[in-house]
Amino acid sequence: MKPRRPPTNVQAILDTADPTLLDLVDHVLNKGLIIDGEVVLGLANVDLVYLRLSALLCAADRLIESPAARGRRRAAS
Amino acid sequence: MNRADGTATYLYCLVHAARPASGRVPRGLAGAGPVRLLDAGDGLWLAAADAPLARYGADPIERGLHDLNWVSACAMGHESVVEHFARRATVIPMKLFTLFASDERAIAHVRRTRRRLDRLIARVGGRQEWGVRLLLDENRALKARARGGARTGRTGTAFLLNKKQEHDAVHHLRLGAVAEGNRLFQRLARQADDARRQTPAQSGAGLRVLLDAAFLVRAGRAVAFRTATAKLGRQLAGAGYHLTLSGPWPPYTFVAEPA
Repeated sequence: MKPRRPPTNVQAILDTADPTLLDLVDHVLNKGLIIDGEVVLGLANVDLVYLRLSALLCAADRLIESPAARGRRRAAS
Repeated sequence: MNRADGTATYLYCLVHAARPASGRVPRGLAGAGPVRLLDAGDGLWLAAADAPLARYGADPIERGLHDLNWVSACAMGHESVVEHFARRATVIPMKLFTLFASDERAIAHVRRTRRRLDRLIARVGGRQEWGVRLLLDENRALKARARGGARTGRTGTAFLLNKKQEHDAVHHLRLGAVAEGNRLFQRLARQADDARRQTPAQSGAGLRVLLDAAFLVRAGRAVAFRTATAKLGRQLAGAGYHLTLSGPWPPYTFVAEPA
């Protein structure tokens, strides 16, 4: 098992509580998980992530776009 | 593709296309294999990858969920793959950490739920998800109100009266704010094909979340939806409200299993 990678720009984004990234986590996590067969996953700590997320999301107060929209704009320019 | 080789099948999304144009698919989750397209028949494909259980088994995920940075990195990897296919076809995005014991089990799950999936594809095809959140900064809102009423007298009675007035002001403010959240939801829902409200998590710190909602909007109506949202946001800004709009997202909220 490889050691966890050192903090990257993700760290920097979170330190400034980038609302786009937090919204992304909120969207993709949203308590959904399919469990099938032998792979059984407990997700007790999702609530913990959510508590931290909701606090950070509340700090956001501007119009934001998903990474996809930003990527598209970059691609267009 | 099973536990014998220490991997599980990670599912990013389902792709509805005769034959998905793969192009250069992003790498996805760190440490996972390249994205493979599994045929579920009749124009439905699974965008999947091998995920090492040492990184994405029950225990590593359980531990990782404590770490918002790790979750965020995973979320970006997941989303990059979903968005890649969403730009080219109708997709049913899977939530983060959707794992199956093997390709066969993933395909079997899709086949089992095929009728529901086909209904979902018809509903979300050509549409985008937009997220709207309405917050109230109570302190700012109360200050804005207090400027109106001058305080009179310095007696004990006046002090108690002021206290009561402050208490009433907070009460009325909150009632009005709840109504404002409801009104915003209804107005935006009229511009969307579907709308869902989530029970907002409260943050404390004087910020009250009044609305946390997702809207399913036809791609051709997205500009109008954004314009309408921004206009409502400007109207509410003076009274201490913050409105945020995010999107376009793959329709995560609208493909979720019913609660």
